[in-house]
Amino acid sequence: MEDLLKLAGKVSEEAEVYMVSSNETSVGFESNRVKRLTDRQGTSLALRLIKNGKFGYSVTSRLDRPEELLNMAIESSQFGAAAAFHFPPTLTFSDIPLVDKAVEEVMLETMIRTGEDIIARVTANTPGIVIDGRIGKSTVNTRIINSSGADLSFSRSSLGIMMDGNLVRGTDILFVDEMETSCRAVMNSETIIASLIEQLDNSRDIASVSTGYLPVLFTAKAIASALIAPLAQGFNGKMVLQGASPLSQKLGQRVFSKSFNLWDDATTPMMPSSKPFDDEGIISRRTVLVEEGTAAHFYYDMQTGAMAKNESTGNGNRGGALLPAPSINALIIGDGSTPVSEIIRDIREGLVVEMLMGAEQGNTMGGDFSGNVLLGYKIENGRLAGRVKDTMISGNIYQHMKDITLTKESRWVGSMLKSPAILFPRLAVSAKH
Amino acid sequence: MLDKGNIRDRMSRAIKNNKADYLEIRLEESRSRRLSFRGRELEDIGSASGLGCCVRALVKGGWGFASFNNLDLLEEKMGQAVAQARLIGNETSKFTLLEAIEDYVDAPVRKSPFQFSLYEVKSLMDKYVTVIWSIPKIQTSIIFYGDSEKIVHFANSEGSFIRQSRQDVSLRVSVVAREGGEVQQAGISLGSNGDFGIVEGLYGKIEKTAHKAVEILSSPKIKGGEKTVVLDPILAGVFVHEAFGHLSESDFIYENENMRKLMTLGRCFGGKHLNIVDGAAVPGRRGSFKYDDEGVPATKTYLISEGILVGRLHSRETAAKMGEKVTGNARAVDYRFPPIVRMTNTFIEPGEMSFDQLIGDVKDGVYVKNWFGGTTSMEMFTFSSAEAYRIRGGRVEEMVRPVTLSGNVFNTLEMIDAVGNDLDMNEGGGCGKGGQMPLPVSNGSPHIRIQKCLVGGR
Repeated sequence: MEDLLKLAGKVSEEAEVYMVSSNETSVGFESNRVKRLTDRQGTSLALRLIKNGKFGYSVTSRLDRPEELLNMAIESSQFGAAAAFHFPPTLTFSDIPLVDKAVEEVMLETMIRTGEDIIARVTANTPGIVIDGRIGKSTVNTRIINSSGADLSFSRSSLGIMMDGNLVRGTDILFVDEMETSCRAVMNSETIIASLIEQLDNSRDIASVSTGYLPVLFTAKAIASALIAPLAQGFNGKMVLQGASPLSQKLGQRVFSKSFNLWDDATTPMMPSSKPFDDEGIISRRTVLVEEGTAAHFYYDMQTGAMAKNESTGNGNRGGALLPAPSINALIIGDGSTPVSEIIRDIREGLVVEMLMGAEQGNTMGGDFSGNVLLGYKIENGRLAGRVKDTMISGNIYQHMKDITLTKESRWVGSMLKSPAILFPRLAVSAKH
Repeated sequence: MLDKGNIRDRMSRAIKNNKADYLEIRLEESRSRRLSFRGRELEDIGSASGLGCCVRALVKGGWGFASFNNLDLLEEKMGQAVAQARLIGNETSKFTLLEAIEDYVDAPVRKSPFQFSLYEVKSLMDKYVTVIWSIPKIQTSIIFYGDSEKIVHFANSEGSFIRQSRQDVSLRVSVVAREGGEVQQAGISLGSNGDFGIVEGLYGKIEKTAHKAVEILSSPKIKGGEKTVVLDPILAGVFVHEAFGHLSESDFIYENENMRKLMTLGRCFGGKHLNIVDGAAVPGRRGSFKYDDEGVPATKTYLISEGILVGRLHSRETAAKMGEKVTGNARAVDYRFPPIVRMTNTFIEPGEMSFDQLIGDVKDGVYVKNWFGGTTSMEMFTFSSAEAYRIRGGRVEEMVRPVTLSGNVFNTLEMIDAVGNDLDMNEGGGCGKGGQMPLPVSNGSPHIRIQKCLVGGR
């Protein structure tokens, strides 16, 4: 890495070398049994340079050809975007605990047994269900060095479980799923089992719902499938800078319900979405996006931040071979005060949505979330009355989040979202009869 | 490029030195370039190169798989994959073995993108940006161009050795219009396996797209509910991919007894006018190739013939377990993944009706065009249009807001009551499954009409 930086330093004004290497081992389950053991080792090296004031960028998985990487970066710098900032020097950062040494020692046999136990318990509850899933552990090492003298690195361990079940009855296909991940060498299979069984129990009967406007309760999982995309786009500093976000001129204004608080946070200890610094070497922080319903801040990377006369919020992240760009680290929605049971008790006819399918296909930039209820239950006179099918919901975060109720209970969905459930008092529901 | 003789020897040796029911190595060299504009500004430009390898071993029904970048690890990783497969294998392997194949297949390139420098590509995109910004009310636009070339060396324990190269070109243009707090977008999405020509000369098309985005701003929403819808070939292609294609992928079926009953060959899914095909052997399409990622020759498979389920898509394992023939549909997005059952080029075959006949007897309905996205849960599917128009009294009338269509495959295919004569293919999509995306596929259809389709306002 140092050699490449030196090499690049000779032909450009500034340079930055980013390297990430990962090791991942996972056990794949298919049709209720262990099917595949997978081992992945990967390394990726990226060079970003500023030549004649413009960015050049290249990425490779071949570590043996630094000249090729440099030449590709120089070629692209001829017409790259004008750099609006300088690579940052080393800054001190506080360590966020992200490594559990015990993850490395988790045995394949233990991972296999854990999966088999989940499968045995869920199939005992619901004979005929077919479970697929994955239990995996990984270690990722990241290092950034640049010509301003920065030299930053960190490691992260993680262990995760993902299980989904499908139950076919006649032409009816039911999908349930659950996942859990952390940096710790702990496998909470009980949580996964309890959640899968609860979803199955709630889906025993099929219920039909009327077309019209109904109260709809989105669980944290549903929020992950439907609301993250429009929220992440709305607060993205790049969309704001372009004027493409409906929030562009709304900073400091009440946009959502007063009970709604939202922040981006890469500092939660032992969460795989956390990191001490982002992919540009900017120290991680917690950025308040919505405070009591008011749009408080947008999130930025260095380039967009500089262009917007703002500083980077530590959201400069790299996706695949792309240049760093603003993206969320982890969204956290503040808890409400109403228990879920109370919300359901007070609804005469309504819906609980666990998963919405296709919500990201609509005009998410405009705030729309609209999709097919992949898993959801009807509420009838204060009780869950079975699973609904062939039902569509449509809403818009800017129209329908002014009047919402958030629950007291909240949870992590994977490592990208922590959220309570949210009740929308009136959403358009179309059902097939 | 790697030294080919040497690579082949090393791959054969790693296979010979290990014992399993089946062994396979895929070694992949790649290069790619991309550039994107956001608004008038060039946002991202860069290139990438890659070298990676994976090994796969089958022992007594259990699989071991390893992927890595450092080729020096080949022998070690092969041994590890075999040991891992042995650790979990506890039955008899069922897997279709074929005669050994030796072949070298070069990409069917028409106009290679790599003839053009990044500068030339950028100059072309500059012109498109100018076209977009000549239209009032445009708030921003996103142009994403990408190209790639990949050479895959494949060897397995049957003694096969196949080297295939392919090129891919894709372009997405999305235009955002804004008026007050209202934001709407329209876009086009194109792709090809190695023809730069598809991204050239798009001035008229892009101008039209920009006008569409503005037009949507002032078009009314329609109320959700069950409606008669007419789908254009692009959206109907997405529909056949989402609503039926994924259900034909045998890895969802082969070890699920109830699913097998549900998908029994001979089951009636639709009328006599309904014929659905998938196949990489259909030449010149984005999902075309000669051998899949298990070294199986590509085929063309009828999934539905005259409304009846007659076939499905297989890997070597699903075919063996279901006692059916391999179809050459095992694909991996890259060396980091094992191949799984995927679609290639999927389409509804053309029927007899002209477009005018198709809409002629629709009293009140919606004409939906162009693709925005689609997804499926096997039984239920949803996909969204980029454009929508009211049909009244057999005529296409005013534009309305784009809509999301949703349905249940077990009754929606039956509700297709008319199939047009104007087959067209959509090459712009990338398919995702099991964390592997975007996989180049194409899909297509003539215009089709669906009765009682569930429409949601978007």
